[in-house]
Amino acid sequence: MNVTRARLIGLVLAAVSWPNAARASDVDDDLVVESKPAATTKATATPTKTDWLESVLSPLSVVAFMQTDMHGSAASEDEIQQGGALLNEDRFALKTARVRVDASWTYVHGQLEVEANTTKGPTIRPYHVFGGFHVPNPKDPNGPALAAASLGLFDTPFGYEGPESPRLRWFMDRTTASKAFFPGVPDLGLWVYGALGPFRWSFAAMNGEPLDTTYQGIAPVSAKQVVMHFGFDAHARDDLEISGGISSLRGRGFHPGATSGKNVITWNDINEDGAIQPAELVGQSATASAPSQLFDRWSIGADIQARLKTKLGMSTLSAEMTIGQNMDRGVYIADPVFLGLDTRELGAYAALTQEITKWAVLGFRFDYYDPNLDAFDKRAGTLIPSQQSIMTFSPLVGFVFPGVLGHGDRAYGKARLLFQYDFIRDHLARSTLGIPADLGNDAWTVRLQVEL
Amino acid sequence: MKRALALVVLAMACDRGLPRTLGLDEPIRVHLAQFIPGDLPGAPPDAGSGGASVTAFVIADPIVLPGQANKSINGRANKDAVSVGLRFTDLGSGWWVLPVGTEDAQFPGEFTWQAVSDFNPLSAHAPGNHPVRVVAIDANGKAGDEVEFTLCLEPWIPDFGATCNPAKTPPALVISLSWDSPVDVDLGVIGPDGKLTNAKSPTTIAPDAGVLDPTSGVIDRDSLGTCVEDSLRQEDLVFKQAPPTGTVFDVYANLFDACGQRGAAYVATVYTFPNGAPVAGQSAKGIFTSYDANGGAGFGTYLFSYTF
Repeated sequence: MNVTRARLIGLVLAAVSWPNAARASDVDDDLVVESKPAATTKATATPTKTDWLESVLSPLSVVAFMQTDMHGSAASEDEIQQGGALLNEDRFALKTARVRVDASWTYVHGQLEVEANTTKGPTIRPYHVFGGFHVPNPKDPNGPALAAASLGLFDTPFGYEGPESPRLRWFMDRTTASKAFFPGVPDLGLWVYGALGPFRWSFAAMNGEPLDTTYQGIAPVSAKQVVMHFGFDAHARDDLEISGGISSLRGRGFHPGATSGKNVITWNDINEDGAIQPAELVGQSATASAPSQLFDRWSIGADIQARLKTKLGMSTLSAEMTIGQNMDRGVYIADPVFLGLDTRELGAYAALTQEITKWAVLGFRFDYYDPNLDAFDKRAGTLIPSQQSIMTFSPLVGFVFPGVLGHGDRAYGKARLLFQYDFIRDHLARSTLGIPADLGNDAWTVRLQVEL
Repeated sequence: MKRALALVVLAMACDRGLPRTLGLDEPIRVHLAQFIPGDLPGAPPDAGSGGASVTAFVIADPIVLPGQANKSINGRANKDAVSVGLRFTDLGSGWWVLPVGTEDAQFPGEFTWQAVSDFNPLSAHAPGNHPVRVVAIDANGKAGDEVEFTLCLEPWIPDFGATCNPAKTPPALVISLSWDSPVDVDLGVIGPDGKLTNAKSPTTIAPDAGVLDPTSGVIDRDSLGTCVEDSLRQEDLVFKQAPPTGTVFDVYANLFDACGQRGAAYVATVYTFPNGAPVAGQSAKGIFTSYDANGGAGFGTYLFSYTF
């Protein structure tokens, strides 16, 4: 896609012409580094101040955008949960605002992206910070690099949906499964990747604690999470592009031990009269520290996308399926050490978006997540197989204010105004029979996205 | 294709789902149970409708302290029951349903149930006896006969159990201080002898050889002591018997620790019990900011003087 770049220079110098360098990516324009021609300089006998600034800044590009939401949920309550978490979900929110600076020379690249949001209160944090080296494709200097290596904070290269930039995604948020497996996608690690013709490959060794997890940004486990992705991005026809891939992940989870405790006296109000009787006082001796324990987690997935350009606009069909074991780090957090058994998860989605000229978009996504394929429920003292699955049906409609080119020649708009309703069918409540039933937690979101 | 589309539309449109509510507005909250708005299903007690039925219930103590948590209501239901529902008949807006548990080894063919319940502190503003009904529901969703018992909600102002047991004598007077935020506020009174009574020194007259003078006031608790939330945010100075007429107490409120909060609004009220129930009298209100926190270094803010 064409990269917006005039912002940075505009702050420094008003009149610098800025050569466009095309970047194309099968997944996300944010991350995949491509080779880029060296900066051009004007052939003048006496270099001017303008020439000097241009030569310094020309390897840089800047992208910035913001997403502000108006959100509502049937599950919203004007209450606080035990621990103080607010339960009101009917609110305005800054979903994300990001500024990203890319630098790309012939063999060296880097990216610095900072995000601000108010999801859990005002936050500013590093989102993508990495640098590395790459080998340009001599036949296609503007295309993906033959091979590259990056070190730093980058998106976990698993599947399609996770690394997909929210700037480009039409739907408001990632699917439930994706948010369960990767509460935040960026993680620290080493990434080796490249492209050969239509094929894409990627290996990464990461801390295994992406953003928004308990130990985000740090690593409680020395073993690294290994992520692999093999994919393709083929232009079957001028108007048809097909891409896809398979991914795998293997790592180790961390069950923290307990620190030692002191002697304590516990009062247990056995007769519930609110008064202390001697028999209700129990002394508990000091407890020793308990060791931490590790457990294995893994996941495999497959994804496919098809984009068809018609007279009406771009049609995009995408689907992805992921299975995992002890992978849930965000919704029903898996801890086989505590539970005594491994938890198997299954996630899948299918999404269709239809751009209508350059002014509008319609979309629909079906999202399925089962956090525990082996769930049981207790009824009349008997354990019987049960369901914990969550299905979400998400129709979407949006208006686009054209102005910024996105993937290929698709217009993503200078601004977007989107509306999405999520029909959520789950098993989080209990019916009058005492069995798991659907909870009334449908949600809707109106989003304004503006390129800065 | 049409069938799949129809299924999708049905799945999206037909089921609005059960409400998510913590039930914090309800007088009773049952752990691991679902809240359902509306009346409890089932026939009135002893209607003889047959089917699923509650065969027994056990309550350790029918008296509910203000804001009491983890109070167990246990029982059994017959073999037709798959779940049990319960609610206050005259309080709240809905009922709670929970599945029955294991078969009771001592009563073959009957299944246990246990409703571990928390009680809304605000329900203490409706003190007295309140009927609770429990009903068993069978696998077809049909509820049987309701079973009724009574719980007594003790009042917010301590009354020595007089509300729930009229044979008991209420206190002569209570000076109550309450506040609205999780901060450590202490009630303090200074008696005619100059003694400061607060949570650290909780009696207006020091015990003599371990025996407390019946005219001594006693502070009932150190609410939010060390900033540990107790959901009460109230301290009471309780006089079992009135001191001699003419005795004057100066009443103070002191912000011991702001506990990281910006401050709190507070109100102090004197309660008497002319007919056994608390009646509010002299009162004062105010606001603390976090800058008022003094760690007990002073008396705090003077509110009023009360004369017996």
